[in-house]
This record gives sequence, C-alpha cells and structure tokens, in this order.
Amino acid sequence: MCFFQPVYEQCSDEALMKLVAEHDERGFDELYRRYADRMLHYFWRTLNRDEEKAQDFLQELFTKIVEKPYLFQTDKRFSTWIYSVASNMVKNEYRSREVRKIMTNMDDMSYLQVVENPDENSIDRRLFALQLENELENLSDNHRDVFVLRYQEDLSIREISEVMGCSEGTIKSRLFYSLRKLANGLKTFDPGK
Amino acid sequence: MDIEKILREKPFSSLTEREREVVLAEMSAQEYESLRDTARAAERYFRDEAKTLTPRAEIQGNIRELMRKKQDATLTGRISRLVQLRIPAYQVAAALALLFGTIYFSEKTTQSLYPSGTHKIIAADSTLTDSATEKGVNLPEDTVFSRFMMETL
Repeated sequence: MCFFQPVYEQCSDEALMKLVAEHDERGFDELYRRYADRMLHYFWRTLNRDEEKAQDFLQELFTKIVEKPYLFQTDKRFSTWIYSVASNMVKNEYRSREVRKIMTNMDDMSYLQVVENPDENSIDRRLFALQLENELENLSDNHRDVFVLRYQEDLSIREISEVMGCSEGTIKSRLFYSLRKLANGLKTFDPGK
Repeated sequence: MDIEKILREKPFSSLTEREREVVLAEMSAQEYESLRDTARAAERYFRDEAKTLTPRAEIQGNIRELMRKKQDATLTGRISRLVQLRIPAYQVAAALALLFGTIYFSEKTTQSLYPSGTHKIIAADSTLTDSATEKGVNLPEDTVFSRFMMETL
C-alpha cells in the first residue's frame, strides 16, 4: 500500500505511463491533461479538419494506451511514441477511406469565421489561413505530416525521424520542400506582415 | 549546421558570417526571409487554431471507466486496486496517534483502579475453593468477604 501520493504533475511522461500500466487513474488523468489537446489538434489537422473524426481518434488513441500499455517501450520517449501511434492511425485511415480525396471547399471553412466584425487585417488573416489550408492540402501525406509535426506539434527533427521511421536527412529534405512550396503559394499574402 | 533550425531562430541580418555562408550556399537571402516568414506565420496560425479545439468531455470518463473494468476483470487486478489506495501521510499519522493514545489512556485507567499499595491476591486457598465448589458457591476468591463466607460454610 502506498502511503504517499506521487506528485503527478512532476512525473515524467514515461513515469506516468508506468502508472497507467498499473491502472493508476490519476496517472492517466495527468497524461491525458498533457496530451489530449495536442493530439486532438494533430488528428484534426491530419484528418481534413473533421472534428468528429478527430475526437473519435483521440478516444481510440487513449483507449489503445490504456488497453495495451505494454506496447510502450520504457527506454523510448513517450512523446515520440504517442505521435508514432497517432501517425500510424492516420495512415491507416488514409489507406482505408482515402480521405485525402475529399477536397476542402469554401463552405468547409466555417471554423475560420471566428471574427464577428472583420476589419481589413482579419480578412487578410482569413484569406491567408484559407490559402495555407489549401497549400497544406496540396502537399503529399508525408510532406504534410512532417510539416505539421514540426510547425504545429513543435517536435524536433530527430523526434520526427523517430515518429516517421525515416532518417533525419529525409525529414529535413521533406521539410524544406514543404516550406518552399508553401512559401511560393503564400507569397502574395506576404506572411511576414 | 542546421539551416532549418537557424531559420526558425534568426533573421538573415542576425546570422553570423559562417551561418550566412552556409545559407547562401543553399538559397538567396530573400528566399531565406520568405521561408522564415512562412514558417513563423504557419506557427502563429496553428497556435490560434488550437485554441478553438477541445476534447469531448466524456472521452476521459469513458477511458477511466474502461480502466476500471479492465482492472476488475481479474482477481489480481482487484487486489492491486486495493493496494493502490493511496493514503495521505497526515491520515496515517492521525490514525496511529489515535491508536497509541487509546492504548496509553486505557492503561492509565486500569492502573487507577488498583492503587499502588494494593495487590491482587492471586492464589486462593485451594481447600476453601474446593469446598466452595462442592457447595455450589461461586464467589470471588480474593476478597475478605469471600474468605469470611468460606469459613462459615
């Protein structure tokens, strides 16, 4: 019996994962608090901004973590592992449903209409966002994944290479390709503004 | 040298001589700035976008429920759930204080019933006891009263 509660907030992700493997609910809560928002955003982005699907994937991801905690190798970083699992889930979805063929149109951009009284700047921002979304859509799955993991999820090149199972050189090359392509597509919007 | 890393960190004007050389071998200063602006704008956009998304409230509860079911499915799981009960240290201290306090005060109370100069008479006269038993009398053996009673039998 444990007489002292672990300070969950101070536990590493890997230590929390160990607690989850021992069915510690508070350990799970802390891990969920750290990763749920990020993973939802990742799924949402990589699943064509389908929020329902992203929410379902989030539940499925954490269900996997709870049901098969032994799949996590404790000598690896949890953050890399969770993105690997998520990335594989998305790839399977691409394969099975070809969601990439569903092209976004203007109607699907309702989530961008968050400004009630748009001024010139906000319109610019929305147009920029629209164009960025389109440019991201036009990237290949691999290029978009690398870009999202780097600039949305803020993973390092090394971490992305672990997540995607590629060399760091490949990741850097994909990243530069994506960045160049986006910069070309967005140059009329002057993203530096 | 990692161009992508320095691209995120510094504008072209802040690069060292060596960094400029490496960058210019790959792209023009203008392209460097263009890529940097795009990367920063995308980061800003992703950050703002994240604020509009919240996980469904029931997901966490559903998974906790699943954890409980999974654990309760086995005997060892149920035991380990009990073992996992985490008791705050102050509660343990309070329980111990209560336990030892109760023992201490009960001993004090017992001592006060038998003043220090008085001793219980442990051994009773076996003859008297036997005759009392024969007569079906059941009286405390160690008192003056009992001795008196025995003598009168």
